[in-house]
Amino acid sequence: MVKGGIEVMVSIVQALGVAFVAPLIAGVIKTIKARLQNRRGPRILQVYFDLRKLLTKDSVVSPTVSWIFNVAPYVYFASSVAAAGMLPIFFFSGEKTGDLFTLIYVLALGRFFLVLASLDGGSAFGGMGGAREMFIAILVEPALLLSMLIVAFKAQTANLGLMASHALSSSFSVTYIFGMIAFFIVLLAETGRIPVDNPDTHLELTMIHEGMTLEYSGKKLALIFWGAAVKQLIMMLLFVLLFLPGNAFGSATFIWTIVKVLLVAVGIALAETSTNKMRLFKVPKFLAVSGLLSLLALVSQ
Amino acid sequence: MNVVTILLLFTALLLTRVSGLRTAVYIILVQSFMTALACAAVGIETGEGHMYVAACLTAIIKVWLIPYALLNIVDKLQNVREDHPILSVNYSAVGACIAIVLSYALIDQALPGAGSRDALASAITMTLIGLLLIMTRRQALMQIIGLITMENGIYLVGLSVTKGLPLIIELGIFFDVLVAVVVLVILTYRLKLSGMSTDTSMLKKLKG
Amino acid sequence: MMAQDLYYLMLVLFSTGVISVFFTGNSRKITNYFAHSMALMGCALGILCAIFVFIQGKASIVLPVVLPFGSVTANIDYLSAFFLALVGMVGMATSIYAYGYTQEYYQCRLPAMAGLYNAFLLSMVLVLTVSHVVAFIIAWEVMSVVSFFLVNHEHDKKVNTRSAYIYLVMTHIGTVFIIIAFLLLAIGSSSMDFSQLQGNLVSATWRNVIFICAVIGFGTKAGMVPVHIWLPRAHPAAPSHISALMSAVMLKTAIYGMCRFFLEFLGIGPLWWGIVILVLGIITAVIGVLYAFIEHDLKRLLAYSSIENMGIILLGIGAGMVFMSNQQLGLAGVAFSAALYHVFNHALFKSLAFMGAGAVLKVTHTKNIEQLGGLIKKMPYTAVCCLISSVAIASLPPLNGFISEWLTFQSLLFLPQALAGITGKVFSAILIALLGLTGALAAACFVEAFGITFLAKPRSKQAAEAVEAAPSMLLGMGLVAILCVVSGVFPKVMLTIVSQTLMGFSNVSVGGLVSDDWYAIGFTAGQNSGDFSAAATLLLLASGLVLAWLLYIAFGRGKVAVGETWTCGIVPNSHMEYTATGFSKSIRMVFKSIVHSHYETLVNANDYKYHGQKLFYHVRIQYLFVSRFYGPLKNSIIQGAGFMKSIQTGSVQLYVGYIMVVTVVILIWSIGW
Repeated sequence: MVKGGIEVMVSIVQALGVAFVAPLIAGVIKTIKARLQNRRGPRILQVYFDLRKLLTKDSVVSPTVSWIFNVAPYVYFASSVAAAGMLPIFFFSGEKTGDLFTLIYVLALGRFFLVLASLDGGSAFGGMGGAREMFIAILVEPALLLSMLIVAFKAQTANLGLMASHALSSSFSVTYIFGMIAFFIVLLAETGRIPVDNPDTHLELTMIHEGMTLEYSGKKLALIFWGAAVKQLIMMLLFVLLFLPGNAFGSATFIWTIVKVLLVAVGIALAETSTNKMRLFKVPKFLAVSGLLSLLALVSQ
Repeated sequence: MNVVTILLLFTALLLTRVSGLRTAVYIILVQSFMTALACAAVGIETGEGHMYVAACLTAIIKVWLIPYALLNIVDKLQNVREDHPILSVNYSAVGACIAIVLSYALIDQALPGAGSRDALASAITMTLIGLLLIMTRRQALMQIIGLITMENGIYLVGLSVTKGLPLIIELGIFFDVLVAVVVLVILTYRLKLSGMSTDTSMLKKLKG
Repeated sequence: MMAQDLYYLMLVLFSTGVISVFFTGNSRKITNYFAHSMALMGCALGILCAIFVFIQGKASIVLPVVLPFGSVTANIDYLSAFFLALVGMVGMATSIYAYGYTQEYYQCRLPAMAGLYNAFLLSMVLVLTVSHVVAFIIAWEVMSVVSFFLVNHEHDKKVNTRSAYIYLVMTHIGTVFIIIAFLLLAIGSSSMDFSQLQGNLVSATWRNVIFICAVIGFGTKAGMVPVHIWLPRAHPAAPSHISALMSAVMLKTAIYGMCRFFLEFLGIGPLWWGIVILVLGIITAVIGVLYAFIEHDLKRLLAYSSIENMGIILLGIGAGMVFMSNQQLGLAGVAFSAALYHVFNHALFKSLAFMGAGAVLKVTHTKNIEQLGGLIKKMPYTAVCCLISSVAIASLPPLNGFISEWLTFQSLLFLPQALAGITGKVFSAILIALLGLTGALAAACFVEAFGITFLAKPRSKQAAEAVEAAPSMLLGMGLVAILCVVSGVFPKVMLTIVSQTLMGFSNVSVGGLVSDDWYAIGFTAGQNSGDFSAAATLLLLASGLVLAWLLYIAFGRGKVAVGETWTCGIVPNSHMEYTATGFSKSIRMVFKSIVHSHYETLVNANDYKYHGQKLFYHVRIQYLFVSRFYGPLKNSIIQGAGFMKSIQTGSVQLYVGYIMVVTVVILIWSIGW
């Protein structure tokens, strides 16, 4: 009981840490994207200031909504933070609390309530955003599972800590390249980046995540932004811990992890600037490519 | 016993040739009377008491009650005759002869050298002639008569094979026939009442 | 023993419930309360009986029925006790719910419904406990017939009679296969008693035949694809508490039969048995949830969702059989416990969902979710119960649906150990991916169902005038909802019960399933292990909530102004809201090859040609199995029958002629010419 308790404490601290760092990474991605587009871009810490601004604003709430609208941002934020606690960042964290399927489904819990809230507003924007979000979620789940299975089957466990240590100790091979590309595609889809969704737009036909949260304002919107940033960092950390093995600095794994996360941020920014948002019904084909690559990786193991 | 057998065969053959309903009822009356006599004769031979009871029952039900009901119907039907049977009367008689030959051949094949060969053969003949009557006649009444002929035949088969069935079985057979005839009589009556003819080939119109 | 007395008493109570409707027919209220109270007490006794069996061991009761094949005993071992407890729990909730729900049926043959309800519960209890082949089949048949009458209860609507008819035909097809399977086993073992039936007394080919017959027979009752077509028609046709009972418990009797066959009678079989069930299971799950997402009739949606969940249960059973045939008993234990746990979970959350749907139906008199909306403000408690059931069906933590989904995933994860080679790996990977797909589709489906039914503005007058459901209905729903939450937060209790259930079978080993911590469940099977801590997840979620709340109040409490939903400046009305048809459109397009939807748009013009036209958008989908398989089958049967019709001319003489010919032929033949 005591041992379990300590691990849970560590997970909670880790979750809070990840939550704290997430807006920074979001800011990094924005700045790199701007530089790639030949602009100066906002400062790296701008997202923190945006969140603070939102947290001090009043909010406007529609009379059509019910208590679900008020509860949903909390649940979304809490689920993102909880999932962050399950990541195997340190060599001992995540073993008792983290499991592959638990992580995926906790994130799904947040998404469930957010889509419910989008339907609660009673507008077509919300409905369309929610419908498309669930559509992409449906297609992403199998692709995500397939790419994570590459590591899980090799390690014959679903425990994230064991998977990460197994990934760390195995050699670089074709399997990993396929897995990397597959998971990167899933990463773009799950975090709502171009080519799947445009995080900067506010046109109703092109926004998915933004469409869902159109009715929110003020503090609740801040929670949703923050939750989305945490989710993005979770996906990036999963990518780094499972698919980019290699340990150049010996025992200073933690610093190397940070470097890899920044590399992934650059990669995301590059991916976003180099392509355009694809039509919604081409997304299944896009994710099918990811699934096929994962299957290929499994076969070649 | 032989006389009775021959007379029974004769009545069965006659039934295939008549076309008047009243005549047919009288013939069936005679036939049932002969059957009762046969039963009594067997009773005298074996000396068992219940055969007399069966003979009496046959006499009451088949010689009195059933022909009485049938004659009632015939009166109500007034002038109906079996004019156009499916198989004409001449060919029915030929069919009856074939039935006689067939049953004799069957009995010879099945029980060669049996003592009651004639009785058995005529009983089976009566059954087959009864079926033939039901098959080839249009009038409902003639079909009832065919049924009674068939039943007489089966009864005689029972008599000649076992020399007296237990009373319970005989009672069962009686009630069976009684009920069947009652139902058919009522049906014929209702057919007449509802204005349609008692021609059973008209029932084909009911097919969906 | 206590269990025996409780069992007898339970049978007596149910029978009293059945008979009582004849004597209290005049006063509907007394019929309602008395019959449902009998059912309630009977179910409570059922739970107690099961608890006693778990504590004291197997119970054996000789039933005072005379059958020509030996005496009839009811052996309640752990498996029967598990399912008996399930019947009891769901039965109690639906009986309480029925107090309020059946008030609507006071003019609609209530005594028949209440009596048949008790008979239904009685027959299900008998099916789950008797251990004699003929008695089992009789009880199974009684269950089918009673449920037919219940489905056909509102027979003034033609669609209900048609649904009941299809149900009757399909369930009898299944019963034929079950009878074949049982009789083959009984012939091999020369006994009609369950304890004597053993598969290894029958040759290998016959064992395969028995397996196939059992799968088809029990699969028909369980709603397995492709013999599932009765399920989506029968469940909406029945009254809601009956639908809840059918979906939650009757489908599980088929799983009970399958467990008996695969764990006890047939023993360890070849590998392809498990693979067949795995394939059938995943197809069932995907097709079930796909059609559920496209539906807009609330109860039909729930029926298709039941099909999906039965697919997941079949996945667990299939994985268990694969492990069994590979002699990996520990992993087989995990897989079967995943299946049994999902049986329990599904019974709970599906009955809750059907009860919620019944409450909505009773209040608004419509099942079409396109005409509902905004009910969360009018029926707040019902909405909470429906939300709990939706979250549980979508298998999200921290509710109970997630636990069994997790166990199923874990058992599929270790499948490559039993299926060697690349094909094994790819097969297992595809299974896991498809299971993830069904999970996501289920979540989407219930977001749509709950969101469009309860949230936003009402879409029709009936929805606008809704009131909260009757208190007894709320009580029934609330009990099950609390159970859902509790078994999600403390999964260890249920897992202990499930592992004890499986302990009686020698082909699976559940020794590695229990762990000492109260807050976690886990398993160790060889060097494979996995664990999940519900408490840790809850704590993490709670910490996240605390952080969120802290952030909320950290910067002062802001004002909350009221402003209408943004719809580009117009005042929003209910026509602007998203519809269920629209919500599922994208999935309809992606899965076009399976679903084949036909769209019709009807334009209703009025006097002004250029202004004020109404547009109706109607979607019709083609049900894959009905059109590809059952339709042609039905047509060929009708053609064959039409061909045979020509021997029936309607002429009395011809029929007698047939008799005569046959008589003469038999006479000649028997004499032996």
